[in-house]
Amino acid sequence: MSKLKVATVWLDGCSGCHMSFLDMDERILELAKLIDVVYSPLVDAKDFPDEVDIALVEGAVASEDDEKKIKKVRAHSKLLIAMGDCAVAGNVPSMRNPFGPEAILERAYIENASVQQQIPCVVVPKLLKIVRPIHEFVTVDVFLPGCPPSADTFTQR
Amino acid sequence: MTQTITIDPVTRLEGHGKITIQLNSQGEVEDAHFHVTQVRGFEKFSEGRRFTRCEPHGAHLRHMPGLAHAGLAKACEAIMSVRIPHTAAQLSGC
Repeated sequence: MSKLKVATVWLDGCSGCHMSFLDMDERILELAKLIDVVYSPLVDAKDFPDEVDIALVEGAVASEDDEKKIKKVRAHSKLLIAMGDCAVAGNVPSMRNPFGPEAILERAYIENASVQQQIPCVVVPKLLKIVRPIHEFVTVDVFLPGCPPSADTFTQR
Repeated sequence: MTQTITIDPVTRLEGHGKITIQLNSQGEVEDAHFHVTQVRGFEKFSEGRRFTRCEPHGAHLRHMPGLAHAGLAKACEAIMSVRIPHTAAQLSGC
């Protein structure tokens, strides 16, 4: 039986879900017999593959880049799993919603900067007005809540 | 002919970043930039909150074991005028 092609993606998250996934320690050896990680921040892959069986997505959608990415992931994956509270419900990234992108950029790059105060605008993606969970953009097949979901949560599935 | 080389994704970094390298017409490096492509807004949304919450919140900034929290812990210690034992300082890498 061929191995399942698994991809993991991090959007506006903190990588805690990825760390928790790795926290399954030696159980990963059993998993390695069943899956092939074809794309992930943890492996050296540049482009999202055309065909993925399972995509684990961490993080909320906070910028135009995130939005493009999640749509690409959905189009090329059979099963999409929203991994962690940011992907499921917004969570910590959405704490900026009451303030809006202008206020947070102003605080971080102008008020808090002692030199070269400027708001980055070259190459960096435009922030969306409101940070939203991924199911507001694409259909999600499985929701895995938790901040982060424990290693047991991953393996019990 | 000038050229821009883009390195994306970036490894050796927990988080998001892009590197662009601008070459001049002779193919020599003229300029290079590191672009931070993710901003969360902790500096703003932490305002008005109790300072004891900044560490648990900050842990969700970048979940790298221990790393992000040291600066936040130091700030809280300064606010409380607390000096931590030498061993603790060594352990936290401050």
